[in-house]
Amino acid sequence: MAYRLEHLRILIVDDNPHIRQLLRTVLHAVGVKSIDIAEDGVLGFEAFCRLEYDLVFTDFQMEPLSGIDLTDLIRTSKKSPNPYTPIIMISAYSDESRVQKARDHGVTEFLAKPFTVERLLERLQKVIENPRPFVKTDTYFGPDRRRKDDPLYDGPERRKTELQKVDVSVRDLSAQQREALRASRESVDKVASD
Amino acid sequence: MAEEGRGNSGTYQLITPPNLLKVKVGNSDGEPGFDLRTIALAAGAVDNLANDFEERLKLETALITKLSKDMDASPERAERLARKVERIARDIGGLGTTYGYELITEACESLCRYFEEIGKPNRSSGEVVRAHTDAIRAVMKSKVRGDGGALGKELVTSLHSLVDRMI
Repeated sequence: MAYRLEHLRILIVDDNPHIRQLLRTVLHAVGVKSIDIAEDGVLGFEAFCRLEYDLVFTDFQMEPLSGIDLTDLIRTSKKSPNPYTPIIMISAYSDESRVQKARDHGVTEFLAKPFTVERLLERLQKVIENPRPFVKTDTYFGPDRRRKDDPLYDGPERRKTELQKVDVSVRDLSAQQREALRASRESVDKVASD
Repeated sequence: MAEEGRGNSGTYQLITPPNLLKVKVGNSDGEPGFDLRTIALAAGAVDNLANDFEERLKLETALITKLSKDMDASPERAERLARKVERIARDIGGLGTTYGYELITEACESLCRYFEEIGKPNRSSGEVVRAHTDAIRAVMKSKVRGDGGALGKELVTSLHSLVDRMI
């Protein structure tokens, strides 16, 4: 039986309107009815404190408060209504150091851009099916980082292989498309040779 | 439920909060939580946004081109302008593949790599940026989806060669 997501309340925190719209569209399509939007970490935390959210999507880089700062607030602020809330961080910066940083601040899952619908739903399913216990030490509070098949690592190499790349044969392109690509390459080569 | 223990870096508490998310969405009984119909619905909804993306891409590409010319004209502002270009390229590159435009993601990744590698922009930077925006525009104008086959790969290779040469 497929999930019934109509009772979930999800918060999306991202400064990019297109990403906000994209996430909202996908979540609506799979049945989520209550989706709130915030444009940065400050507004995101204010919204988070007002209502009970089941899940938060946040961008990594935002001004004035980043997704990392927002995660810190959700996990450790006295104002936070639920420090255990799952957080999925979405970012075009997917180098290992940033993924590590996200993990060290208590992010639940990391989703590298560009992502496909399948990939987004796969992350959602992981959060639902495989929640990690939380660890509290003097220096850390968040999901247990020791899971062996680290789902948080989403670096460039794996991303390349997991995305469903569309292989196109030259025969699949129209004459106009072939000409456009050829002309563009020649123009780039010219800049390189000048 | 919580248990305490001692690790290499001191004591810790392991807490297993109830899985409220699962309670709310129900059990998938071993079946995929999202069936093929639901995935197709979501993919269709994303396809409907493709036009918005294409429109936005036109605007952003025009903006990057303008910024590249400003970099040429005002070298003292070039570093700040370059950060802005990089940020826009990362944003649109992060959406390209989602809408099937892999070559746009590749071109943006190449441009971001250029700025990451050079640190401070120089006199050639404007031209390098425009070579990338021209490529993005060509892909968009002729609506080349997917990897563009052999010609697409050649274009990406040329962009990377240009970056290698300029850094």
